[in-house]
Amino acid sequence: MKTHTREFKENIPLFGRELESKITYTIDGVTTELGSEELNSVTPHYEGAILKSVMKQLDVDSNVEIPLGTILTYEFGVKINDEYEYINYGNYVVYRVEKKEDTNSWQITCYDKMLYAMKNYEALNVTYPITIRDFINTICTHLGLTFKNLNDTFVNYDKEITKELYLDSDGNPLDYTFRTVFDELAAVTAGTICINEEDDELEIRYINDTADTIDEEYLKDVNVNFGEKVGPINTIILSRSADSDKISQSIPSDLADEDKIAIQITDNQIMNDNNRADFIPEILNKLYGLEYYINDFSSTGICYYNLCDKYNVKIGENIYSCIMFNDEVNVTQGLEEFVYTDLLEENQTNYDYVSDDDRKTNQTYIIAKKNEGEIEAVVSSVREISTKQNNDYQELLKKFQPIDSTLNKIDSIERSVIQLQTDTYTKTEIQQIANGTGVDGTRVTAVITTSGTFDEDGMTYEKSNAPTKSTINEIGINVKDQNDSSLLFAGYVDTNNAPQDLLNKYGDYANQTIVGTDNIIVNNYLNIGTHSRIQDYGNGTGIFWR
Amino acid sequence: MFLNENSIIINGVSMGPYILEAKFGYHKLWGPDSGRNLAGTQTGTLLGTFPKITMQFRKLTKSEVELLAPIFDSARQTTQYYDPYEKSNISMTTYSNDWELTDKYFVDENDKNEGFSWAVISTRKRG
Repeated sequence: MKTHTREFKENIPLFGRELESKITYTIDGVTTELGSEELNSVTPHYEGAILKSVMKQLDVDSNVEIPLGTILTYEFGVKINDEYEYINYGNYVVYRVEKKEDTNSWQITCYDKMLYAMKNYEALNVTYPITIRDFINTICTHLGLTFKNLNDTFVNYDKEITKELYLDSDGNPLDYTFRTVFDELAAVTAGTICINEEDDELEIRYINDTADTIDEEYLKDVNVNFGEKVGPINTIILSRSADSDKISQSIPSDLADEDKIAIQITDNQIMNDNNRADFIPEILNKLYGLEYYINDFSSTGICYYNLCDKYNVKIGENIYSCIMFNDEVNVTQGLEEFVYTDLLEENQTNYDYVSDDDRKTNQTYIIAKKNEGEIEAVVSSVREISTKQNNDYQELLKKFQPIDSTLNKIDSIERSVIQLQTDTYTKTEIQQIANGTGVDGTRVTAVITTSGTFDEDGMTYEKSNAPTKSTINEIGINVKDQNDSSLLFAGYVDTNNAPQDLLNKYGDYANQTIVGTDNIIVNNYLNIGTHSRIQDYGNGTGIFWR
Repeated sequence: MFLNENSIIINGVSMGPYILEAKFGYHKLWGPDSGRNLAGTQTGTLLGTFPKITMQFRKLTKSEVELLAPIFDSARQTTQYYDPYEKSNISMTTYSNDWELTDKYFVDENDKNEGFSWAVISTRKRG
């Protein structure tokens, strides 16, 4: 917990509490203190979890600009007996400053010194093997941090890292930052790696049972939710990449699978070789029995809990044991605090394929050595395919053979459809051809009916067994008998284009327009030229000229 | 509190000779988090106590109004008054309300404007 008095705890939920924020920083030897007059809002917050590193953040809306890179201290005060008691939220580095022209103030984003770890992992001056404790200290020194636990014993502090894990064989960086390395170290040490608020040092923080209880006086009357209980933890599982090659240990060691409540650590490069089982016992001992309630609640303001503090919330007759992992304190003209703790990622492990140590088994395993860029695989033996597996295969064949045939039929239908689409005209296209518009140059070139034909030779009327047939075309009208001999022709004798029967009969009149037939019946008169006429005259025939 | 003629001085001008009465208000402002908690208990942040002085002015002559008008019209004033909580004279920056003057006949040094009320409110919390 942050250092505070009993009066602080008693006064903060009271009606009529008076609050104060204070930000202090020094630039070029000049110390500046900002208070409520300069600060429009201050929001310290963090999002953390067990077995992770945590970086705390501070968001400030200020009427005074604070330069980038400034290290400031934030304190929050409650008035007690006419004096403010302040609790220390620690030091932060100004990371981003934005001017808000609408309010004429500055939005300032700050992070604690875990910010220094937010860069790509670099080569360290390390001689391997190196203990976990010395490795953390080396990183801290490299980043300009002080390791608070340098002289302490903690989970797996003396386990060794035998070689470089986070650079390739040529010393080039892999996809790691110092922050992600801290995440892995947090898992190895079964703690939470963070910056201590009081002394600015990097520490491995474990769950701190404060034995403190808050009740409804500290909670708002809306958004107060408590969920299921996590734990009690009795099993630790280590897995490699892609959630493979799991090993686990439990307390007691013969715990039934259905009773195992586990925390799983996945793809940790430090706990990746075949000696990884050696890391589990201390982790398990540290986390054994861990339990807490999922929660999400809004508070009127507590403020004195730290990351990883374990506390109780009493509501009526219910008491919820909680751990502070995520916290946001919103200090404006009033005070609100938002607290939540999530469920651990679900672990669905089939323990049939999990042992407690790689070295005791002949199981097939694969280790992805990212720094060496290789996969080391050991296959203990190649077994024959069992009869059962073969039978399963035959059953599968039988099951899917009809489907295969059906698929072939579908292929055939598909080809037919394609053929149909290629070789036929659509209704619209047919309409265009019929009305003479044509489609791609295709037009009606012939009409054939039961009584005749209309084609490039002309329009021919013809019926079966009829004595004559008639053709009308560009040279004239030609009526023929059944022997195809012309009976009547009225038209142009075109020696280049006339049919042979016409030429036979009327070849002497080539290139002339004639009417040629065997019989002509003239019912009234016959004019010949412009001067002659033959017609009835009385009971005889008159030939008249002029 | 009004202890003597100079208990209220605004922008260097003592109000004592011009007022018939002064009402001292000590107004609490509450934060937006005020309400009730899960226990039903009222909770909230007190932003502070903001003093307010409401003065009833007597009928004033033409020259008296001309002396005081710039003070009445100013956006901010420096107000000194005796505060019983502080047990001393304190100075505060204030803002004021509008003021209105009623004349029932011609005003000069003998015939005065009607009386009126005017108030100043502290821009900051006391203390």
